[in-house]
Amino acid sequence: MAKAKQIKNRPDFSDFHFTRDLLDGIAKQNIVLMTGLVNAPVIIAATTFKKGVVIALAFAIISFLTIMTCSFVPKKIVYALRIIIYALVGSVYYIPTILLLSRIFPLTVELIGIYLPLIITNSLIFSKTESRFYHERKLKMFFDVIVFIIGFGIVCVITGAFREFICYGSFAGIQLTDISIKAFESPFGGFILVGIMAGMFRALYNYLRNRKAKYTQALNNVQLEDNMTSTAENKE
Amino acid sequence: MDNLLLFIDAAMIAMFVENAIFSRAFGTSTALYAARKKDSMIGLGLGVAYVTTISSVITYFIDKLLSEWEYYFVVMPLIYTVVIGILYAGSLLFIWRFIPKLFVKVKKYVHLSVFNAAVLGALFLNSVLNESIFSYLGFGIGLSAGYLIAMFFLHIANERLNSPLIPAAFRGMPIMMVFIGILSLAFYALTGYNTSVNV
Repeated sequence: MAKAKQIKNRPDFSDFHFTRDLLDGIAKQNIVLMTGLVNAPVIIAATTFKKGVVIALAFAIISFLTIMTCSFVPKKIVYALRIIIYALVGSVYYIPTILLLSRIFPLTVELIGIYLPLIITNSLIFSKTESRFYHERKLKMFFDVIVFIIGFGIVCVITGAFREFICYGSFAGIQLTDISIKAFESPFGGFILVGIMAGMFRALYNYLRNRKAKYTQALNNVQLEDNMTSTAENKE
Repeated sequence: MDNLLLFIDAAMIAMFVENAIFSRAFGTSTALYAARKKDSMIGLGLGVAYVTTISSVITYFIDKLLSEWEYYFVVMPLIYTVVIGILYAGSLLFIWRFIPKLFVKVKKYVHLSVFNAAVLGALFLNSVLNESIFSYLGFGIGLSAGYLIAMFFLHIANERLNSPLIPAAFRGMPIMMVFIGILSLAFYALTGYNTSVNV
């Protein structure tokens, strides 16, 4: 009975709103800056623009294919065992992904090292699927997964580019200045940078949300006043 | 004696130099989540320790057998996942059959301590850094002990860093990240790391 009630109370994500869903995955529930679900590759490995791009590509290919494939795994299998299938599917998709990326970016893949295979254990596959994606219809889920992956990719590439600029004074290998603060290349630099980025992003998001709420309220008040004036005029 | 030294050396390196959270950021999101409650922190730490230690021993033999193969680095995650998966399913079955009370308690979050970047990361680092079975074992135990120590630090800081004195936007994950960053810097200093800051 309690279980049936729980299922009934599950959020229904089947309604589709392009702008809302786009903002949800990229900003409101960004998996690095807002929920912090996936952060190890960004903190440790994304130290240059190129590394950021490679991590984002690997994350996109592995996560997307794994989530879409595992959506066909029957829900009758208990979660404790279903999760083994998710991990196995992820590590199978890792093989063509790493072979492809090694051909295009051989040196960068070697430099990123163990953080590429670690993508198969990311929380987007293990947690977000159960709490969100697999409650949605297939088309909505398809869009949602892509948006969440884009949200991760943007943060990963921006962090990589920023760290490259601040550590080496270059962007995508092109020397721009002589600035060199090597501390940001290290894990502690990564943690502090991601923490500050997350705080600033949340502050900006909250500011924009409050401003929009105030604007909507002001608009409603004006409409209400207009309605009252026209009603009074009609009475007269 | 040499083997014991190898074991201790690998354990100390894993605990402090290659600390799962402060140096490697393995399983940070899970650690941040588990550090809120003492029970879940200990449960997760013990789970990670159990899986890492046993799978380190198993993967030692697999590494020795396949390390010469050209494409081993490509299939390594798949092989390690199979090992972890079998260990996880076997242990869960054992608990379900013989300790049903424990099974009810752990079934909700046991997967977090198994399919965790800390476990897989420990196995990958083992294959890169270590040679003998004693160093594999020491590294596995040391890394999970380091993970538990790091979670303990996060648990202590958790309440204080969620105070109203912290700006609302930084409360929670952002300030914890900055805190981990500062502790990470301290761990680097402990191991004799010098930053080369040239502005």
